[in-house]
Amino acid sequence: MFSRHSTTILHSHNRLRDSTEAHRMADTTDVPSNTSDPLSQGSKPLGEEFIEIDDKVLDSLNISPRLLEEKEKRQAIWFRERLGLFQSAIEERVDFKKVKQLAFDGIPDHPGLRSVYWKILLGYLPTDKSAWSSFLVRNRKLYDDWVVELVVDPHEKQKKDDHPLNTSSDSSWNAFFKDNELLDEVDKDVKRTLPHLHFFNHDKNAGSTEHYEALKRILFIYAKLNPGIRYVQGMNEILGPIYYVYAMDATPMFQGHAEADAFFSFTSLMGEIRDNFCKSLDKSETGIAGNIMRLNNLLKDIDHELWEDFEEKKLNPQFYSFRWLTLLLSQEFDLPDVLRLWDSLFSDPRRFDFLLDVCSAMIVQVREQLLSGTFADNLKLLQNYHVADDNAGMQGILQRAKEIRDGLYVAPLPRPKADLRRFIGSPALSRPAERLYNSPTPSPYKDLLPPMALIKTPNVTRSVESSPVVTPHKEEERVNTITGGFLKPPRPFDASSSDEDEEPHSTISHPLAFR
Amino acid sequence: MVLVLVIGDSHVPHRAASLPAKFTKLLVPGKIQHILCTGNLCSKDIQDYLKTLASDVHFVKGDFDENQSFPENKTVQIGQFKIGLSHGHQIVPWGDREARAILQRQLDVDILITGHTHQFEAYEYQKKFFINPGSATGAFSTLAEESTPTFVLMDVQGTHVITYVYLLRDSEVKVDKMEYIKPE
Repeated sequence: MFSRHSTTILHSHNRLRDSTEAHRMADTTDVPSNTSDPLSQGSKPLGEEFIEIDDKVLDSLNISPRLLEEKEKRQAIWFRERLGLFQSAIEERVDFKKVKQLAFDGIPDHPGLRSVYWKILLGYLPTDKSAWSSFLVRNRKLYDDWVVELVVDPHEKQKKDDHPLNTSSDSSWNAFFKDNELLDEVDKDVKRTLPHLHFFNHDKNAGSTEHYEALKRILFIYAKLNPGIRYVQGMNEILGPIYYVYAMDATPMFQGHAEADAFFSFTSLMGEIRDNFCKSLDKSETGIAGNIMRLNNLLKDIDHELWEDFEEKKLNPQFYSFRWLTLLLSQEFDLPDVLRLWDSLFSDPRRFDFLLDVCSAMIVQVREQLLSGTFADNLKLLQNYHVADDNAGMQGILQRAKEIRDGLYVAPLPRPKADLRRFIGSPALSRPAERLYNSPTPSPYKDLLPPMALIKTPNVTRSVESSPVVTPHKEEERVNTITGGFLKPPRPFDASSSDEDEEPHSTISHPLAFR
Repeated sequence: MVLVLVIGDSHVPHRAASLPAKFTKLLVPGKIQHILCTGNLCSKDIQDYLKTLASDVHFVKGDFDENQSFPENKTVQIGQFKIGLSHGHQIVPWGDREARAILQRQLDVDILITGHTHQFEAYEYQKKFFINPGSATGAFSTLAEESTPTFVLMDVQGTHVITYVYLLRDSEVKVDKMEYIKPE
């Protein structure tokens, strides 16, 4: 793992050294996933593209501290070059195409970089960089005006005859109480947004949860400006990471205005996914039901066996994918993974089709567990999605999603349907099994059968053709452990020649023990 | 911005059947934070009704109250104001300003609320504020034969109190307001 890692870095590093190479890489229409992403499994095998002699030493397992520094230095140089690419894409003017391409593979964790990239990707900042400052000033003022106008304080705006219990529609007190109801609803959800982050809850005891207040204001103003959709639970989860990213930005141009910027970015993002939240559109094609249907069809296309399995188990896609799709997977992963994922989602030219690819990738990554589990297990796994580390977590999922998107994913061959476990202990299995185990061509059923040792005690000196002697004693033991004693042990073929005193040479492990 | 309802002297069921419908239409739960009741509700019905309007309800004992467990006087701190509550039949002469002022000094409060006279009053006297919410049902009293049903709503904001009085005159609800600022 370590050595492959270093090779990949060198491999990409070499490319980046050459500026023409860099340009070529950036101009390819296909996303250069293997070259620009340091963590993707290196496509080139070891030994290619070595330049310096140190690498061979590096690849060996005993690394001296000096060489470790070298590797880190190399990584740092590589990172800086990649960072340079990102920064050059928005240097004088915003190269939108390049921005999208670069962002698709993940935005580096340089302070402020992700914040400005998301603003561009979500359509907030214009492509003409010189217009940024005036644009920002104008929009922030707009937001502030809205805050003042829409957050009603009945004392200031009171008409002459107005009183707190007024229920008429033009009473500012009435409006105030109605807004309070909305605010309460928003507040309940906001308080539960990303509660584990210190960023949000650090002053909770002191009473000043200022970031939560900001979230509340944004959602409240959005609800008032969009009476068609108002506030739906879940919007807070989408706003949370966006606001977090913007608020952590310390560049002077954006610092302190995270709220206004987050509001506009959130609005434009909602403009694309609002159909998922609108209750009346639920059944329509663009609504959430339509999207779930599309996900299901995609799964059917890429992995028919798995899809069929779900159908048999009656695992309705709504059970697991509703939350995935409406909340853009923000609840399924930890925040760093969510941010990385959203880099790719926002830069997707076919807006949010990539989301379906990612969802199907998630399902496919755990297909073994899904195929072998029951309905309840599957549901539990999908609703609390957790992928084992050997599948490389989010990186693995994104890789898979890219494959799916490019049509390169091929599902593994379906397993045979016959469940031969019910034949354990029956005499029907012993001879045919032997033949199967010892056949020259590998049988597809080889893996399905229990190991030889569990059926009988093999004797290494015996030839292939002779009939096996079943040891009643040992057989009984083993059968009982498999079936829990429910099946009776089979009658031995030759009770007289029992092999109790014979040592079980290869009763353990491999099916080729008989040889 | 705290809303405090001041109400009392409804004398239900002895002298009046219930609170006026127009008042109950206005008094919806969720808007009012505190209720200060001057007493003489008489029955438990009004007590329960007031408890549904807000979570923080304070009662004092009037001369006709059925519930004997209410205290004679009560002091409540709401925002920056210390508010005293008493029925008023103990203050003799009934309705006298200076006698009320004695009680106010005794309780050491900024705002004193008393009832019993069934007449709405809200005045500032010796830099302190005195409120009489009148009778919520306009019940008979020995001081005046008929009276307008009234109650009072206080809007407490920092050192300001805006007092809204709701009167039922000619079957219409009329609102009036008055402001009191706490002296330094």
